[in-house]
Amino acid sequence: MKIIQRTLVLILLLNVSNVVGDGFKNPGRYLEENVLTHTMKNGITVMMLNRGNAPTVALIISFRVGSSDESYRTIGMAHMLEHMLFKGTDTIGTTDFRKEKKILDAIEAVGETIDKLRLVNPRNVKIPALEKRLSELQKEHRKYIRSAPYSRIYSSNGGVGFNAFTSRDRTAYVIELPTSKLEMWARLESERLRNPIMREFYLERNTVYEERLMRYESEGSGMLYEKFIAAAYIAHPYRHPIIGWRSNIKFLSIQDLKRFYWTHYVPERMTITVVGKQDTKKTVAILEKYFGAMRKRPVPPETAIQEPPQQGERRITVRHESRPRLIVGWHKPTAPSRDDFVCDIISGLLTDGKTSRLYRSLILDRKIASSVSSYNGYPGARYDNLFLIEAAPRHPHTLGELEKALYEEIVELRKTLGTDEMTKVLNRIEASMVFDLDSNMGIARLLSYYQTVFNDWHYITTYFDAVKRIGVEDVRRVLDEYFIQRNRTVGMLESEEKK
Amino acid sequence: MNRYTRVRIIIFSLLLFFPMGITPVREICADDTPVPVELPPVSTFNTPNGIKVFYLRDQLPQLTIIVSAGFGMLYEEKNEAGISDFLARALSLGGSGKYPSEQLYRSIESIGGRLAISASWERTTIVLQVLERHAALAFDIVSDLLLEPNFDRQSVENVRSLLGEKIRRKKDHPAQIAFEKVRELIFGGAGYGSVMREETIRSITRSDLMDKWKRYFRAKNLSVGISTSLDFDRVKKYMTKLHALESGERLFYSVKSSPLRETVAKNSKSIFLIPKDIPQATMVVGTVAPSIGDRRMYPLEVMNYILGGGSFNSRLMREIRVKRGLSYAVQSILRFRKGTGIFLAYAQSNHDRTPKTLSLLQENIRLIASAAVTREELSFAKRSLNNSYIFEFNTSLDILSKYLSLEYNGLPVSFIRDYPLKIQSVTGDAVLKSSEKLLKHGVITVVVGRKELQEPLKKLGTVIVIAP
Repeated sequence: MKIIQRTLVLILLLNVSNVVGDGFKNPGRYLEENVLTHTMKNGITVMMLNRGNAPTVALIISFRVGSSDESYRTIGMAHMLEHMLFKGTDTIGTTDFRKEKKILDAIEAVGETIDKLRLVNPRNVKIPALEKRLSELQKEHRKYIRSAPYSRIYSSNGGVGFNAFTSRDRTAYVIELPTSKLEMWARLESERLRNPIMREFYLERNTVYEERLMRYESEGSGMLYEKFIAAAYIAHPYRHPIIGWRSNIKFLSIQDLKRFYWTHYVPERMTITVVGKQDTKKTVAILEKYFGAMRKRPVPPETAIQEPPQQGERRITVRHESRPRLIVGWHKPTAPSRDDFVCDIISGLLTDGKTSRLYRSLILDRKIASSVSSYNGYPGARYDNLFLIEAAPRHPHTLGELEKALYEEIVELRKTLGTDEMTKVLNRIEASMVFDLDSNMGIARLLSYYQTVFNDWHYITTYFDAVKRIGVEDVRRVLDEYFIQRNRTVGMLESEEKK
Repeated sequence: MNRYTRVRIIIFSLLLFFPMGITPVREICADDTPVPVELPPVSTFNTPNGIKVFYLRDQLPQLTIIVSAGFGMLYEEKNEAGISDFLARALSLGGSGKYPSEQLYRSIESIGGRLAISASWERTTIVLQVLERHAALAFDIVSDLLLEPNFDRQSVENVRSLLGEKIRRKKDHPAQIAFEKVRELIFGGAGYGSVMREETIRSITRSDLMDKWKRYFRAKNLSVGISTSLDFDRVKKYMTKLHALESGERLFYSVKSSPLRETVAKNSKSIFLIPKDIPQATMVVGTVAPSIGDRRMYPLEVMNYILGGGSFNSRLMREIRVKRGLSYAVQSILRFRKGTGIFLAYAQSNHDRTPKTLSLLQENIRLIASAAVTREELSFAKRSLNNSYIFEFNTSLDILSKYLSLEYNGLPVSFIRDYPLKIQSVTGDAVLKSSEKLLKHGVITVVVGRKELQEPLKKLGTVIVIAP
């Protein structure tokens, strides 16, 4: 506690604002000159940035594994695994692992049997007795559990923002801590990955099911996005929802989960990012001490499936007791294709700020939309992806009117785009790069994302130079090549009033 | 016994005392006494007409200006619900005399700046961020917005239409419906219970907006936070244009708590069911809480952490999600405002499990109000609250926001420094007494879910089916 107390005083006596050096002008160059990388023998990549006066660090462990690495049998597994890695190990989260293990094995055996029987025949007469047995075992198991063990330890030691997330491309575990707790964190996290114990699996599976209901099924927009992506992608695993389908979550297998873990959570797919006030030499020594012991394992191959070129417009409609909404997406290449940078510019031109084309036209002038946004690089970036526009019609205007207006504006953009608008977008990108360097976690997320997804965090440092070279003709070319009818998918959420 | 065997026995003995694998990480905090907290240097000054200004030096080459006016939803009467949101949006779209409408945004966006104008519960804020080299323009824009707001007819009508759509789309979000209804029931539809409806939005005129502007956007009712690499004297110089703003007076809303507690008591045995055909129900319970600065604030913060604010460390999370897998989202929330406060707790469960989840929610709320928390819970909650406190000052914006909040609430700067000490001094007895007082009238319960829930929920209270 004394260490924490001293830390508290130090943090607040010093100026906690960001120190990035005198004469700071270029975020890219600043990162290039100050981010240190280190690769361990087992393949783990470490990135460190010593910054700030406040002795705190933002920490991210990121794995290049997401829902795009799943098979049909394991849809939802990456996300389920993320949940399960909060349950502890053979030394953390248990009061007596030796006794607990026997019960865990029994729970697994009964649970797997129930699932297999239920999949074939939900009314199988053996199921009720097995469920009763499972319930008894879970009750017995409770005696040996210390729930949410990491949360307790981190909260006690000044940790904030302890969380994780799974995307189609990666899974990341994040926290901010006083720098003095770095070694404690390394010890805990390396232990978490050494031998995770998948306790409370069936309860957690229920929780994931509830999460799905919350995110996807209780609101129309969630259902729209899910169905839209499944239509836009007919082959590539980007089409699957990260959380899993309602029908398969309840059958996720704990044995498959363990296999998924050992197959995909390999050191060469792991990145550790440490941003904040630190002695980077000490950081490397600590990380080597705890994570260096992780043994190399074979790196699983990337997905071989390529989404075939779309050969005609696709349209889907979802009916729900929600107000209407429109999504339109066009297939495009991902980074580092030059066209991906162009699409970033297009996104800025169309929807960034109140002077952007679509905002001005659809919300201010024509008043047919209540909101409009665009996103370059949905639903992931490891593989070729989509440029997305989403908009909500304003009563009494219809989805049809909105869709038509959207395409008219894209045509207009192509016709009338000038260098002034391009300059405006570049100015906003430049300014954002400065504003967004305002927190340790903000920078850590950026570095971690690019290193994990593109295997090269330098993407950030060269980004602005790359977008600066894009001209009006590039925008026109990309609009002509990708923003065409045969390459687009349209999703509509239509209101269904229920009695 | 040979030497080899003796060595094996010694090693085996050592292993008995030192567990295999990593030594379990223990909580280090043996001493829970917090050290007084000191703040980084923030300069302040008052303009001649009464604007309080806070200045924080930042080394990023940027300028952030936050203007905070005492006017938000808590100031609204029932028949003008939504007017603060209306005003903020109208200003955002209308701009000012020198920078009207589109010209405002061209000026800002062409230089990469960001402008956001929004109303919240107690304040309306204007936040402008630019790179440092555009400081003169930024101050000119902010000054003109305050001195010459432009509520032109086109912008006002556009906002009216946008708010109409916002009201219609509210029904898409079950959690939003439930939270709003609980607040409405507790606070009688005004202030914290203010509910924007189409009829109130239709009735608001440009003249109404100007009246509010003239009343609340006056110097003494404003405070300004500035974070920048520019020096203090230069910033003061840039602020001189604002000396022309009329002084006005400091204005707050007021709330009488006794009638609210009576309302809660009267309705605490009921469950208000809002039918919506979705597979997962949202349940929210709530009651009125004390205002900021009340001596019960600290024990109630600790109580809230233990009950449901402490994420996975909290009782609600443990009983509802971790042990039973009944919900993904479950939490309790406590907010202390200038003139009032609110306590809320919520969970979301699939249709079949809603009665069980609601019963656990109710049971745990009853328990925290009737039985002392354990020593371990108390100690852990205090330690966690104090140890994470430093991260509320993570960025320059965080620090400035804190100062603006202190200023609005009339609290001394020492409030920040004293917070961990006050938390540390909370006793179990104080937690129990404060929880008893907070929850003695019960809570108002709202469930948004299928109408078939009417029957099973009857076991937990009198079910009243209502419209959203």
